[in-house]
Amino acid sequence: MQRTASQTVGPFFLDALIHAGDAIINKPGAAGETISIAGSVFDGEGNPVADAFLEVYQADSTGRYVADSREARAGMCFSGFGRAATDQFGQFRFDTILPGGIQRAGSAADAPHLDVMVFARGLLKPLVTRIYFHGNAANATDPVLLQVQPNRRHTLEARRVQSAEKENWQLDVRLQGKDETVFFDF
Amino acid sequence: MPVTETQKLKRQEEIDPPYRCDAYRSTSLRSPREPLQAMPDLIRSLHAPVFGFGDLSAQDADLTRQHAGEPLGERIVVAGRLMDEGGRPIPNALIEVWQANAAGRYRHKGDGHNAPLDPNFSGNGRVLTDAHGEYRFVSIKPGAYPWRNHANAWRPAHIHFSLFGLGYLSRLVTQMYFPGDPLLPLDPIFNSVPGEMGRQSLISRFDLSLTEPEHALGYRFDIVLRGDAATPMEK
Ligand SMILES: [Fe+3]
Repeated sequence: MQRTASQTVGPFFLDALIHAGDAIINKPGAAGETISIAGSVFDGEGNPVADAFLEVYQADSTGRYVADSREARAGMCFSGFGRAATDQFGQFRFDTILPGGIQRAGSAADAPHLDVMVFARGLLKPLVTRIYFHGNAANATDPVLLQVQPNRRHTLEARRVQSAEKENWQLDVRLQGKDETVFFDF
Repeated sequence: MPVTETQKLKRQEEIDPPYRCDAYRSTSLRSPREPLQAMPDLIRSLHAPVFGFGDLSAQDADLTRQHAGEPLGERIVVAGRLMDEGGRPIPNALIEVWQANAAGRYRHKGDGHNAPLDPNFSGNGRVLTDAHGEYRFVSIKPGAYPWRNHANAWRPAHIHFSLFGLGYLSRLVTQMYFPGDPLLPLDPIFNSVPGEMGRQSLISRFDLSLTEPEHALGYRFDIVLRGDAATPMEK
């Protein structure tokens, strides 16, 4: 059947799509190392994008996706899915746990990462990207990072920021221009 | 690079709009310029996320009953079936909708249109598809509203839809339009969809069988998401 076409989310989605707690993925009971991931979204002139939202989706600390595993589904306290709008400075933040790497038969493991979709006014369809963790040994053999030009890989790797409370990671999303984020063909 | 006839033809068949669409000005600084990378295999095989919807109440699916009084405007029933590309219904899927009020104004701090707010209308709804992939919600017909994309620019009446399907890549955010709207041929967002079939996929149909006597006009809007359940997901 003919698919329904995509259209922009526009500027007025906030009350409909963003609810308190949507950006907190590590619900009580979720096993793993607690982390936060924050960053800003910028446009092609380096201006913050204050009317975007990000959806992230990730495996649990053992590398399983809740939707793919009956046991995980049954005791679901970790959906692996979160949504966060950007604020007036273009900033977003998620609280979650460090995902595990994903082992698949017949191919190299995907290093720990979050899948990301970016929605905004001016985006007629979502931009699809990933957030990896800089310094993770598995990045060196990750099949997706390996296909990205070495000088652009840093746009997919969050950096650790010093903090006493817990592990905080930082990665900006640049929609266009210098240091443009690597996006996948959706 | 000049666009060849074959490329033009291919674009006509494409369903989704491109990221860069010069007639829609907001795309100019927000569309990537670097080549897109191949979609990772793992993403192709991911199921859609499963998450708690909170408690959906009947009010979530009836935007005319979320306040003490009734909103002004023409009452409408919008209903349809959510399907995959194989035509299989998608049960139990979350649909989120949002829209302007009858005067063309959103209840959003960023909406500077000087049309009145309606104290009895928020314009946000949520509904789950049933076992047959069918959904239904009640609202009022949204008004057209101006935007500053170009001189005298007006958005055709529309309802925003956000949908999850079976696969992670089934995710869709779109807009539903109304048949016969004279603003459709002038709207850069609607016309960002390259093919006629794709544009038609966004227009609801007036449906007398959904229309409730003495109460509300019915519009049917079936939605087809990327993916096909007949193709087993790779593991
Ligand atoms: Fe709108």
